[in-house]
Amino acid sequence: MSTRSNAEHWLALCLRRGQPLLGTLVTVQIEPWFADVAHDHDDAARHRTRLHTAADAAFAAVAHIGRVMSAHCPTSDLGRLARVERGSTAPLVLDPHTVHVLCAAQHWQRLSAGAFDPAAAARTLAMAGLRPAFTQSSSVVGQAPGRLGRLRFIGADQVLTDGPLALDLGGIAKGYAVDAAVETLQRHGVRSGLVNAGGDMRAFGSRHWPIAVARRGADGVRTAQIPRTLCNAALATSESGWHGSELIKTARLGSRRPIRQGDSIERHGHGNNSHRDEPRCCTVQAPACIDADALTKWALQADSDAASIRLERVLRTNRARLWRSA
Amino acid sequence: MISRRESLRRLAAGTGVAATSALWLGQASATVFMDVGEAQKLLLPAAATFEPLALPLDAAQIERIATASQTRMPRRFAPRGWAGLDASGQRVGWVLTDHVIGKYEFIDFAASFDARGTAIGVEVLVYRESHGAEIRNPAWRKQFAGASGPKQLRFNDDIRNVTGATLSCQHLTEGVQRLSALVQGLAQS
Repeated sequence: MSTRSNAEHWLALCLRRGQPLLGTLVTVQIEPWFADVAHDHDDAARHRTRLHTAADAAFAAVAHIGRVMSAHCPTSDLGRLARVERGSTAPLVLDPHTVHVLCAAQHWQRLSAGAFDPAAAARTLAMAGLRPAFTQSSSVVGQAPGRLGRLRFIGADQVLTDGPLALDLGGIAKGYAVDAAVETLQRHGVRSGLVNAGGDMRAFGSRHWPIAVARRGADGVRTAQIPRTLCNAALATSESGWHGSELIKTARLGSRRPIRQGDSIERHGHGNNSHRDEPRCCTVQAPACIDADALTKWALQADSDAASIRLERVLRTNRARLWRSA
Repeated sequence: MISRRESLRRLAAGTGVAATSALWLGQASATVFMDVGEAQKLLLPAAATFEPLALPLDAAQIERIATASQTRMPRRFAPRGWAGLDASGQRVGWVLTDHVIGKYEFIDFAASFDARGTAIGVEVLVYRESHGAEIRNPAWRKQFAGASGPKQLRFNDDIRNVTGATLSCQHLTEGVQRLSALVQGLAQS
């Protein structure tokens, strides 16, 4: 068989799937397990079934994480955390995935000295009416909110908070979901693949996957992408500032104005810097997608020299790289 | 505020390029995830055969779907559908395909529903994209001055993994809700 037909055969054996999850399009690309191209049609069909099974499991993991950490559903883990009464001594039982992400959020908030702040993001978005899960119930209205720094972890599935705690984990939860999807694929024996959740992605295995980083030019229009490759690492990008061109028109009946495209904390500014300034863009490559996500949010807020020095030190210890564009 | 699709149409009319927006945009690309046959088997594995459905939707049905899904109906709403039948000929569910606008181009998708009309799964069939924002840049538009015909689409074999360009699946979710409302009507008939 010629080289060209080998490559076409290889491409036909690779699996690509895409599903709408986490409010965006989540795609999974998997290479077949074997190193040599299969010439036997029966083997190829069996491998295809195994690849689909692995992809189904990965999507199921992502969907589960999206459900338990939804900021739109009042009965999600984050919705229930936002309704804890102040002074309650009973631990709140949460999904282990949620507990893991809360622990990571607390870690990054401490490490960044507050530059990474999911509580501030939740306040901003809730005020804009974009987080129905954080609409407070009558029992907690007026109560002082809890603090992420004082959240205590009891085992793998319980937390104790000192008050109602509204947190928008949208950024790092997506990165965590990507990491979980990759681990699921690896458990199913997949050696090489790439999971992409609306721009937060992670590649595993030995292949160098071609990727592009969309950046804004000085005139505010998206310029041609800068091609790069990704191998056995994760990549995440965050932007700050208000982008009017990102409005999408929903077809929802009764809506009076367009809903913002990807209505995430990036559009409203993270931390305390919710302002309509020049858009900035930070891309971070790190071993894990959850860390890449958190570092992009921190990098957007690191304005002072001291904060930048601290960030550079953390990037080095986490084997991460940062690219900025204004 | 005009929509992106409307701005594309006005621009195409202004430069005298008579083609659909997907063909006019020279930097559009399409990535095929799977074909309809593979999607049917994946989304409704209990079905042995798939029987095509006739879905001529009259104004009353469109109105009912719009009310049930609480969405505005696209002007050319014309989904395709198949009834999934098991080995004994019993209907086990439906698979429908439709398309919605992603960021600037169409996304083809398939959705499956069980015999009661409850959604089972959604899969993307074809994902298209283009550098739509550049068309508003006069410097970028100059390259098409004097062009006499539609540009050709470049089809990639690899998915372009782009970071920093988040796509919301809002339209896809609404599209699935419209199909769900349609299937509820089929299940009750």
